[in-house]
Amino acid sequence: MLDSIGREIKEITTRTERIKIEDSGIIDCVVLDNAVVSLEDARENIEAVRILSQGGSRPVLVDITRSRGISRDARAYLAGDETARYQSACALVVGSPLSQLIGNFFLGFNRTKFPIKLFHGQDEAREWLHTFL
Amino acid sequence: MISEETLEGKHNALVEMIASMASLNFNRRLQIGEVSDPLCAVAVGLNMLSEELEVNMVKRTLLEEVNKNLEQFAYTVAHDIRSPLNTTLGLITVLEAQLEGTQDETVKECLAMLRKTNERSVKLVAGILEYSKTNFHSLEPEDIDVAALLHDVTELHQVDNPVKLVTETEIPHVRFNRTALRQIFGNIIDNAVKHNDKPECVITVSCRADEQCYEFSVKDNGPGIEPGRTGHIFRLFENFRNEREDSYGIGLSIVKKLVTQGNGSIRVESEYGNGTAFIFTIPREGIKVIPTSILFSEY
Repeated sequence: MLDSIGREIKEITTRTERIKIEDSGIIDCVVLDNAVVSLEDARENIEAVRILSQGGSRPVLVDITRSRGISRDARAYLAGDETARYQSACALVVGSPLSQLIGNFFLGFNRTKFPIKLFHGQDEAREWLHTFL
Repeated sequence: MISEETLEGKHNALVEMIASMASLNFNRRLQIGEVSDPLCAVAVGLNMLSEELEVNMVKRTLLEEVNKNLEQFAYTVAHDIRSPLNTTLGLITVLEAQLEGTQDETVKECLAMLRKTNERSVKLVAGILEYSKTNFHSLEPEDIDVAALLHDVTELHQVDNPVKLVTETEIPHVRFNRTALRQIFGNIIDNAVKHNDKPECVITVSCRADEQCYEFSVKDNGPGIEPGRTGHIFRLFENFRNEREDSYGIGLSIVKKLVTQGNGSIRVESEYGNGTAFIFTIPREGIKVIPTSILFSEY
């Protein structure tokens, strides 16, 4: 998709995430400071992933270290079919005890339709995502 | 900087939340403060856990209601079918008497098949009725000497199919419903005796305990279960289509139902040709049944 002056869109900022596609093809998402992701936010974020991936399926890195929470409905949506259409794999980057907890909930209570893994560092996460390119 | 008063308030809110969850009220939510607050993660975690438990509790309650209605339906249908089936059996008996001595082999064969089919249907209906009636939610737990109960259960078999009972460990006294526990051990042992292929049926019972539950193992020296069948062994009427006339696949389904209703779990371990062990747990504190009506009133 192109922006208003004809350039290809490489980055989108939603209410709760900054999302960009890297040259490698990995989609990099950072949950904004203190954001609590609702179902509506989750839909908006996946729509952004769809636009950046041009409808294809991409490995996605989601940095949730600054997140303050996510609703159950949002987790269910992010683990579901719609998300799986645009995400071939998901690396969740955690840091604080809270983000670790959110990540563990995601892995424990939600069965994603794509491979998902927790990481404590971006480099390790990217290395794993490269295997899905 | 968090003031002592605020910290105490937060602690109280957390304790109240846990107390609320312990009383099965999962609709309370804690206010979430700043990410930098160490208690924030605890509050978010409790909120998420509570939300999950709330949804799962509602699902479970609805499933229990559906199961209850299905069982009631099955019971009603089985009950209504039993009467005409018994009538048919009577008519077959009359026909057999009328045609006694006939030389017509086709008639004899048809009559025999008719009787066999009818008897199988009567057994099937009896099985549905028995399974539907198995429910100890309304029965009270009591102290039970399991060793004595095992002795009573195996004693019943001594005339027709002698059973040797071996206890490998000390067998404890437990708090459970006596009728249910007798049926659990009885059905497992009946099953072992029925399928045993040795001159003597040996039942080996052991028990181990942890803080939460007793785990009983009831092992036989029978032929074991064919590979691939252990996963189906507790299904209702699993055995109904087999060759045995005296088995209609209800006993182990009832065992599973009773163990599960008693807040325990059951599994089967078997090596084909080398016996089968049924391993089940019952809680140490006795049965804690939550009436469905109370669960519904929470929402």
